[in-house]
Amino acid sequence: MTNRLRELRAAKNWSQGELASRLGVSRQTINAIETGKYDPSLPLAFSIARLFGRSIEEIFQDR
Amino acid sequence: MSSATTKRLGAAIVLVLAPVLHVAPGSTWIRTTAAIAAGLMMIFFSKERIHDERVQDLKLKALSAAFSVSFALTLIVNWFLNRDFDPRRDVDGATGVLRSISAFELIALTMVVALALFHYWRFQDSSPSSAEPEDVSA
Repeated sequence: MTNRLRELRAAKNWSQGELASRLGVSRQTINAIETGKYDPSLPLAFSIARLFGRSIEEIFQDR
Repeated sequence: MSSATTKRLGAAIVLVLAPVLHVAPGSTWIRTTAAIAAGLMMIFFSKERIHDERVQDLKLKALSAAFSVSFALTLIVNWFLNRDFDPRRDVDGATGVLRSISAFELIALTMVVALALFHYWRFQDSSPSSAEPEDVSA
């Protein structure tokens, strides 16, 4: 699965740490998602989508 | 008890109590390994500072891999311990003893491997991918 998390975060001018604290996860988790090492659970994906005001499909794409 | 306190207590058991038990009069190796196993379990199973889904995922993966590795090591060590054991001669005639790693040693070994894997993978999560070396400092 690929995602646009890094791009969306950069657009908001947020650091990984800032995004992590808004989502209640660690910075390492954000980095793992951005680098494609980890696919988030559905609840976390919904939280990310809600935070950026996008649908899940706009952020996460099946390869 | 907070998770940080549990971790500190686990570390104290491994680093202080286990050696003290080991050198105490009348000590047995099994008592030492029981303390080490208990301390390592407290460290591994206590919550991290930010205990999110990635931490749970990595801990489960580390524990699964560690159990397989330590079980394989147990089989290898047991084979060396018992390489002269002859079931026909030693069981029927009761002249030999079938030796094995203890359960505490297996647990301690599993916890050491699991902790090493978990922290290695956590460290890898901190590293940016080579393609996109951007912002992990914040």
